This record gives sequence, structure tokens and C-alpha cells, in this order.
Amino acid sequence: MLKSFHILDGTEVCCSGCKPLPLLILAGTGVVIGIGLAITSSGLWGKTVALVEKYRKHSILEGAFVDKQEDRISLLSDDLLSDIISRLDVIEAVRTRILSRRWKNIFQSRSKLHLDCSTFGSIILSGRRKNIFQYMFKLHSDRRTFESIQHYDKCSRPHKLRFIKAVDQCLQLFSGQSMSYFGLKCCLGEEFASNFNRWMQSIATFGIQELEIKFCVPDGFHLFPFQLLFEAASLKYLYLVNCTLQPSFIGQFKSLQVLILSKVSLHRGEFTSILSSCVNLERFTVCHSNLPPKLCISGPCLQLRSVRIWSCYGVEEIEIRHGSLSAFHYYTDRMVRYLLPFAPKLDRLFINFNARGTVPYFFREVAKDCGRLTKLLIQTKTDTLPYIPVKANTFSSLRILYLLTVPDTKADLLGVRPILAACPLLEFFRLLVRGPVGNEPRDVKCSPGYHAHLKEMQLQGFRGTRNEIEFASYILRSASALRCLRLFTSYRSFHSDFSWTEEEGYVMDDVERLLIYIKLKGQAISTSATVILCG
Amino acid sequence: MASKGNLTLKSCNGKEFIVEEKVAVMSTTIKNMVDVDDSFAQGVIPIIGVDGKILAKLIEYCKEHAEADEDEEVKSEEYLKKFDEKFVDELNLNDLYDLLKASNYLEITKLLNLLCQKVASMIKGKKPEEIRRIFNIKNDFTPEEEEEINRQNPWAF
Repeated sequence: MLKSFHILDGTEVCCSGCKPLPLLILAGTGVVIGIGLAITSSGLWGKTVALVEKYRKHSILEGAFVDKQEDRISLLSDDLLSDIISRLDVIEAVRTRILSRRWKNIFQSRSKLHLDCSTFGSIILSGRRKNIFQYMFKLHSDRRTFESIQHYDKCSRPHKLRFIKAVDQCLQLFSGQSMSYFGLKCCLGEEFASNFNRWMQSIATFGIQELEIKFCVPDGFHLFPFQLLFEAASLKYLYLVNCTLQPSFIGQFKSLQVLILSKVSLHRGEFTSILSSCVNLERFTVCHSNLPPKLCISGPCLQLRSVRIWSCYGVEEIEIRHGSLSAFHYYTDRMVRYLLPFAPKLDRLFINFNARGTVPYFFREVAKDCGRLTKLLIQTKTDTLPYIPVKANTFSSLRILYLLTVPDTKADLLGVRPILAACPLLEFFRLLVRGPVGNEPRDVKCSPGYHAHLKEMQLQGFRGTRNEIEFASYILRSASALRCLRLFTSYRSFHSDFSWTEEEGYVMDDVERLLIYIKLKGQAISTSATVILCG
Repeated sequence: MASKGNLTLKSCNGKEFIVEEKVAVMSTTIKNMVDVDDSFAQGVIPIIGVDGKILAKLIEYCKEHAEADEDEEVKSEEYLKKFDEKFVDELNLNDLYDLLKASNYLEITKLLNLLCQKVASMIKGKKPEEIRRIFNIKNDFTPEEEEEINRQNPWAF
């Protein structure tokens, strides 16, 4: 935080370019009232930076001179005071306006405003009810938003009316000022739609950039006035939770770049309408929502780069027909059919779906349509590796591959060789096969393949079985540019919100490690390859 | 002159402190100085406007946190949390203000956050009269002005 420093004019700054020189600016009284600092460098000739903290007019510098009754907090800079009160909830922050003239306008100087009706409950109510409310809020405060909905439902009508008044007046305080972020978490239902629409209208005039609205009503049927925001010319980021939208819109939402929808029903045509109205959308995320059976990603939004869909329901088929989309993430527990008739720029695909035959289906059917793919993640739970066809279609650009499977029968890791063969430029490969262990020796030692670009291979959930060691040996004998083969006993699983968690794996003792090293020693054809056994 | 890997910091009242570089660069301001010009790393870095007592406090804080950043096992998150609590609890108001200003100027983000949070917690849950008493804030409103604010935000009072 350097807002309280100002650049000095050139005359007061040391410009020699070789030796740093601190500046002291002395006032007539002999008290230091400002500090200066010149940073110069021979390497950065002429690029002199001077930082001066301007002490306020009546500032007395050192603690020793300060009378015990001195009000030093009010002498702190606006930025610091604003930082301090931004840590209070809105009611308490607004209360600081009454302290003194100095404090009156600090509240409005914040550029972010978040109003949460649950905090209003705990403060406004008094006496016994206050305690009950605080207790309920404590119970729910650290759980996820959706789980705390029940509590919100218990908000009384007077409580809701007070909250509405508070939002009205806060927005009034900010009128004519710019606000970069506005967040609202409230229990207001359909009956307060007119108030809500009025707020959205006034927010649209604030030059707002980020907006987050969460409705905590049980059914979440509030019709969000999406179209009113089309007027907000600088709104780039919108996050909506638990509401409904109109199935179609008139006009265009030109400013919006990032849209996140959670618990927003999108099965009546809203999804398509959004893609056709938000012409400059770059990232679109949908979660916990109801989607149409056939989800088509297309439209005039030429900036759209990334679409993420997780924990949604209703989809049976996904069609991507989009010229600029480069990343697609989809997480579901069901079988979904993929159609990619036109996705020329799609280069990152992260997919979780579960059904028999998903791995061969994916490589055989989906592969043929995405020749530009450079990064692919497939996580599937019920597949078995031997389903992989001998002839997989070629992923000619693929550099990074994560294949995470949980087969239900004994799997032969060497079964992934056709996949490796289908990715001639692959540089990084993480394989996790978490299922019953196949420990039978193979009749014939498999001959090495040719994986000239593979630099790093990670085998997760490693238990040191014969099959795993055979696979490791195959990689060492086939990858001529290999730098590292990592064998992890732990494994990382990929979650619906696209995060990873590390899971504990098999615990290996020193003798087992030593045996593995002995078995793999001298196998590598790459001179720079190292084998690392983690766990 | 500090040995290699150490920096010498000099307070405004002339006290010098030799600290490890990793401790000193917890301050973004110092880090930028050292990055831009090597001569700072060898000479004495003047920390103007910060006296010896406050500088010692800053160094005490940065030392604990720099060591924790380096080795999580020796100093766990829990240990740091306790250290932070004790650190702010022992401060009197004047030290709190001086540290706030110094950590803002030196851009020690973690400490600045901690101190702002401390002040916020002193305000939290208190009536305006109590807040004024704690911080010696003089109410300079006329009754009319005060009435005006009350009228603007009746729900807050």
C-alpha cells in the first residue's frame, strides 16, 4: 500500500545514479515532517523513484511527545482508516461516520461494498432474540452458502424490511461515486422484486465492475433482472447464486466478460440466450444447475475462451460448435455423448464422466474431432483399461495427458500403450489406475515403443506390483528424451470444482524400495533420466 | 558492515540493526531497494521516520514470519497465530499507530493486515461513545450535523 506516497519533483531527488541518498526534509520547528527516499541505480539511469510520506499538518512525530489524550488514530491516512473499517461489517462501518468529521466520509471511500442480511440479524435484534440469532449464525457461518439457507428462511419480515432500508441508504451514500465491487447476500424473495430491481438499476450507474448476488431463499425462484444490467457499461464480472432468469433477452450485454451461475435453472433456453446476448463473454461457469438434455455451445460470443460446467444435471449430449473456445471443463457422474463438429481452437479438455467403455469411447469418437488438443484430462470411475482399442485415433498435438481411472477388474497398465502411441508429441503423462492389482507375470516381455518427446511420466497410486514395474520399465526403454519418471505411492484425485486433493497411498518400506530400484536400474535409454520414488 | 546475506538497517534515531536478508525483504519496500541497487545490500539502509524501538518490533515480527516461511515444521501455523496474537496484545496505542504507519511505508503486508485487524477488533461491537473514549477521538460535530448523520443511517444506530 503506497498510496500515501507522492513523487517528489526532480530538484529534491538525488540523481547521481550510483549512491543512494536519503532525504530529510526539515521544517522550521526542527521536527521532521516528511520522509523521502531516493532509489537510484546505475543500471536504471534516470529512473529515479522518490517516495515521500506526507505527514498530516498537525502531526507530532514521536511517541515521546504525544500527550496521552492525543487522537492519533484520526491522523492515519485515509487509505489506512478505510482498510481498517473495511474489516468491519457494514453496520459497524457506517456507525464510524458519527465519530467525528474526520471519520464521516471514510466509509464512502471504500470501493467495495458487501451487504449480508445474516449479519444484520445478529446486530439489529436485541436481548434474547439476539443471542438466538448469533448462535444460529455461528452454527451456519462456516458451512457452505447453500447449507445455510434454512437459517435465512427464518428471517422475519421486519428484519427483511430493515435490511431493505439499509441497502437503500447505503446505495444512496454511494450515489455519484464509483464503486468497483458490490456483493449482496440476502433472504429476499419474489415479494421484494421491485426493491431489488431498483437496486440493480442504481448499481448499473455506479461504474461497477464486479457484482455478486446470492439469494438464500429455499426455492430460489427469484427472477433476477438480468436485462437491467445490460446498462452497466463497465460490469465485467457477474456471479449469481440461487435464482432464475428469463428464458430470452432483448438486447446485448456488451461489457460482461466473466459469468458464474450457481443453482440457476437453465433448461428453458436461458443457456443459449446468454451465449447469444453476452457478446464479449470470455469465461462462463455453471454449477449445481439444471441444463437442457442437449447442450449446445455456440453463438456470436467470439471472445469466449473457457466454459466450465460441474455438478449440473439434465445433460445427455454436448455439442461444441464454437470458433474461439479453447478450454472446456465438464464434470458429471453420468454418461454424456460428445459432439465436436466445429471446435478449431479447442486445446484444453478436462472431462470426468462415468460409464463402461468411456476411455475407448473418448479416444475413438471424440479424438477424431479435436486435432488441436494440447492438454487432456480424463477421469473416469467404472472403466477398465483393456477396453482400449488397438487403433486409437491420433492426438497429433497433445502435449499433456492426465488419465485417471478406477477400473473394476484387474487392469493391465501396458494396455495404455495404444493411447501413448496415439499421442506422438506427448511430453507429460500422469497415469493413475486405482483398482484390483494384476500381479501375474506376462508371458513375453513387451518390446519397447517409440515415445520420443515424453519428458516426464508420473505413475500415481504406485504399489510396486510386477505389472507396474513392467510398465515403468517399458517407459524407461521407450522414451528417449525422458528426464524424470516419478512413482508416487500417494495419488491425487480431481474434484468436481476442478481442484485436486492428495490422498494417502500404500506405505512402502526400504527393502521394497531397494528392490524396485534394482529392477529398474540400467533400463533407461535416455541418458538424463532419473527415477524418483515418492512415498 | 554486514556480512554476506545480511543487511544493516538504521533507524531515524541512529540505531543500527543487522538482520538476515530474508527477514529484511519481508518488507516489499526494502526488497525493491535491494533488487534495484546492489549498493543497498552492502551498505546501510536508512529506515527514515521509524525509530529504534519500532524498528526492533518490526524486525522481531519479520524474523518469526521469515523463519516460518522457510521451514513450516519448526514454526507451525498455530505457533504463528499465537505469536501474532501475543504480538498485537502487548502493543500500546502509540506503538500500534507507529507500527501501522511503518508497516504501511515499508509494505509489510502481513503485519499491516494484522494491525488493521487489531484496530478493527477494538472498534467492533462498541458504541460510538466507547470508540471515541478508547481512541481519544473528539466529537467535533454540531448537534445538527450529528442529527443529519443519524437521519441518513437510522438502521445503523
